[in-house]
Amino acid sequence: MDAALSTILSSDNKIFLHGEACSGKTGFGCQRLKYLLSEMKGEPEGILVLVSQRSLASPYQEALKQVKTYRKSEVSILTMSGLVRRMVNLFWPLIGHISGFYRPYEPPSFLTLETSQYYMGRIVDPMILKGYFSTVSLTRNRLLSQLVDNLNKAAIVGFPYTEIGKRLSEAWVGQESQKRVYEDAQEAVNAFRAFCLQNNLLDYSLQVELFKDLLWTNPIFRQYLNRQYVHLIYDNAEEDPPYVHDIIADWWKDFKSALVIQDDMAGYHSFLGADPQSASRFKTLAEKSIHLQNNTQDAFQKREMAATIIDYRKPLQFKLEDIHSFIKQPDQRVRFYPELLELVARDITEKVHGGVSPNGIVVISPFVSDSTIFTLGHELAKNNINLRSLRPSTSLRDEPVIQTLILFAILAHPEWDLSLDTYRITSVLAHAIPEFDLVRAHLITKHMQSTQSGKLPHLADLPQQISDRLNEEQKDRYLTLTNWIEENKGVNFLDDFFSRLFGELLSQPGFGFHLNLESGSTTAKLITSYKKFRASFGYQIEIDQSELAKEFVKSVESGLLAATFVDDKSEDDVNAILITPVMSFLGLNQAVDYQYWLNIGSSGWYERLEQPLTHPIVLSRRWQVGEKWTAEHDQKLSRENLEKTLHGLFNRCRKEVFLANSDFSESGMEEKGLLTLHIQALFRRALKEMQDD
Amino acid sequence: MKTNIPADFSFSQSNLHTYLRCRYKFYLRYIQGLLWPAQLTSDALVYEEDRNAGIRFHQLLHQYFIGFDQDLLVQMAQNDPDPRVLEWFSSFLLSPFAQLDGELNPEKTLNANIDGKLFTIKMDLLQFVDGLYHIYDWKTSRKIPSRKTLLESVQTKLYPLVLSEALSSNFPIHFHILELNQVDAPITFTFSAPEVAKSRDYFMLLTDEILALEEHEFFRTDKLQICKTCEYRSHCNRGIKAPGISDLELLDMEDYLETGNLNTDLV
Ligand code: SF4
Repeated sequence: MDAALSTILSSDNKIFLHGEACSGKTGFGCQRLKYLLSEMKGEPEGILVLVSQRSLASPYQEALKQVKTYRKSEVSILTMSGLVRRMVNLFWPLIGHISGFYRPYEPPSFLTLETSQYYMGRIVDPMILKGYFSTVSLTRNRLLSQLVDNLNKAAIVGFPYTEIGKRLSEAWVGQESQKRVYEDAQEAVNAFRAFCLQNNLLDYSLQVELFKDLLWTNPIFRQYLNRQYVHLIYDNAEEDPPYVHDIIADWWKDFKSALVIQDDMAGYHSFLGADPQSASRFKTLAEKSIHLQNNTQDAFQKREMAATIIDYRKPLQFKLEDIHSFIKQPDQRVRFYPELLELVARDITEKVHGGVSPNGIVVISPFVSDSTIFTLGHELAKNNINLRSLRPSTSLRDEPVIQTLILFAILAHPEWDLSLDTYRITSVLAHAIPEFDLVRAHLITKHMQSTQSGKLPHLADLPQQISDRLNEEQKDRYLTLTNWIEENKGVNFLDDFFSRLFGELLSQPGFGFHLNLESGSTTAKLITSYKKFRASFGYQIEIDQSELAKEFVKSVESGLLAATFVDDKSEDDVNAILITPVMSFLGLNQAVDYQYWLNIGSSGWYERLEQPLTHPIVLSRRWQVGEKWTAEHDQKLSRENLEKTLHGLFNRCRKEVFLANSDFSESGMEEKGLLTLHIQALFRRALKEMQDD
Repeated sequence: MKTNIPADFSFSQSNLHTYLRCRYKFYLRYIQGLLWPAQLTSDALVYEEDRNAGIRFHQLLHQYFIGFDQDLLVQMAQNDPDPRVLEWFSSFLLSPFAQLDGELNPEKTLNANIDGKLFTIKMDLLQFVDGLYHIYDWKTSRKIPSRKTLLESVQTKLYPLVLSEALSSNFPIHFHILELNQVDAPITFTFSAPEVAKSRDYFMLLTDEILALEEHEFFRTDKLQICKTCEYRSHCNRGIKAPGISDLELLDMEDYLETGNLNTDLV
């Protein structure tokens, strides 16, 4: 390491450190953390390590693992939303009574993203029946998530939530009818906020507003915070929204030392409010600004290549063989997507068998579908290679263990009157009792269907021709299962229900979860999700517990509740190939040796999502209120996104990018988006230059 | 085969207690990281209410020691959904513990590196006054543990040791336990240097033993009573139903009071 740099990072000062991805910035952050711990003498001095998302905490946790000092208890690794939530909870008595809540002296209930959407649904459903949002074609879940997102944007960007509709409307240039939709959206968020205030519910937007407007100005709070934290290390500041930068800038003078780290070509989460421009203010606040750049020939060439792909007019600084040595394409033309996945699996297998570590390989695509995971996983499994996926919003209902638990909940609550598919009961029955095969399970469900009772028949009620086909052990298991359901009918606290179901039945010897160690963590996920759901109802809202449980089950079934848990196990699985959406990979901040890009013709590599009820740029701080959002803005944004993505991916690739392209994409279309066009142009230009030479 | 206890593993009241009750449970929970969400008690809702009420009460005391207005906190306690919280808080305010002076650190976590091994404790309150440290612990037990049970608990031995190592404290160290359901009889243990040295020897032997164990040496306990309140009972084929809450003792619950993971409070 550069000695001067090392000295700067090993002293009590305020530094802004920026540079491209994988230039070692986080490594310096970790070094700084160790330095601060080693220097701490006498009075304890708290260190706040602020990261923009949970997964980015791992390098700092790893660094802490290497330090054997009791001072570790002085370190808090937090995201700002974690800090906000924790502080609003602790300081609630000081702010509840001055913030418009109806019951300020009672404990508030914190909402998760999912429970916010659930409550938004309760507001919006009657509106939809009255004809609101009639011109928008969106699934209910997407409609709810965009409405909640609007409120969050207002809070994290810093404008009144009552101006959301006006801002969106003023920027709109299309049909007038869309403006009516923005008015509907405004009405929905107003009603949602009023509902939260009446019922002591704290969604994310309210937590942020309380923190900024009431806590931050409270002297007791500031004194408390200053006692807690004396040093700051703030990594990936560009991925945070501007309110976080406002807070840190205001807090700046109170820190004894500070290190803010920024990735120059990032801000990948701008659709969630990330604002690199706002983060760059720390450059002027800091005593020292340090720029890190990877100066190897290889890094230079990758930078040049990314820049030349984006800009057709930029003169080529490299030859065709240089491109081929970094960007690989299939040797033969591939027409269909499944064929392409086979080819990718073969290429990966060759690499792994040739000694490449599976965790040095990533497969990325703008969107990762279940069928891609299944097919690629299946192909790789033939060669004993594991595939693991990391997707931001997999739904709870997608997990077979959860399907089993939910089905039992429905069977034990006939009063909910929720319909059940016989095929599903068959497969769950076979899953719950390994002694059963699908044929035996089907015999029972077929009988169940014929009686139209909606419940599993008792063993004694089974026709002889069915019971004759079950051996004693199978009968015994089936009896235990049906008895358990009978005994637990009407247990409405579903956390309790699932816990019993897991412990007393499904994980017992002879049942499906007994030797399935993963089933424990998956059941725990569902229990936690229900606990949060139930907690969001607090103590104030009078609700029938049976109805509440039914609402939860319906929410899981509809896909509203997501399994948004950081799965430590899968992250640590070094023996599996990772498949993940491109944005998730960029957010991981990790370099790999080999990248396989799927669906390269898709516009998903750069286009913003179609969101008729919100807009990430119009609701950002850099947007000039009153300006119109036009097609030129969209084109410019797409180009900027593509540029950021290309630089980000190239910087995170040590050896080779494999452009896995087929004539027909996953959706069966012939797609030729900007990425394909720009890369083809690069190859053509390089070929022409070679021929000219 | 030798087990892989992570190099940065931090011993705590909770995980040591687990080990002492059942080596296999320690192995499943802390080495394998196996989540097994079976019930601890068949009265899960009562248990949860107790736990949540305890958490809110601890939070009130945290706020009290930060310096919140007392009347405001009384108002919060009056509006708490569980009437016990107001009772506990009122009892606390009448106790001498509400009038502490010196330097007060509520919810204080400390680490110590003892002979190359990390230990973690989380105290409800740490007081530094007249050159001496006092540790405070608030308990809201349904079944009030005896003085002897408390004295022999991992917590009582471990806290003064970690405190003395981490802060090079003077002796004696006082450890005060206020049982809110019996406020008229607070318990204080006073630890001299030789007593803490004895605890040190005990914990060094114990942790050396844990670190030296082979995988097959993490036996299942032969005390089936312990399995009754263990979430892994189905995994070990040691029972089906969880016991009622009245069958639980403090010792059953102590290993569920996790003291934090690596002392980094990531959210
Ligand atoms: S069930 Fe018994 S043997 Fe098994 S881990 Fe629990 S306490 Fe140990």
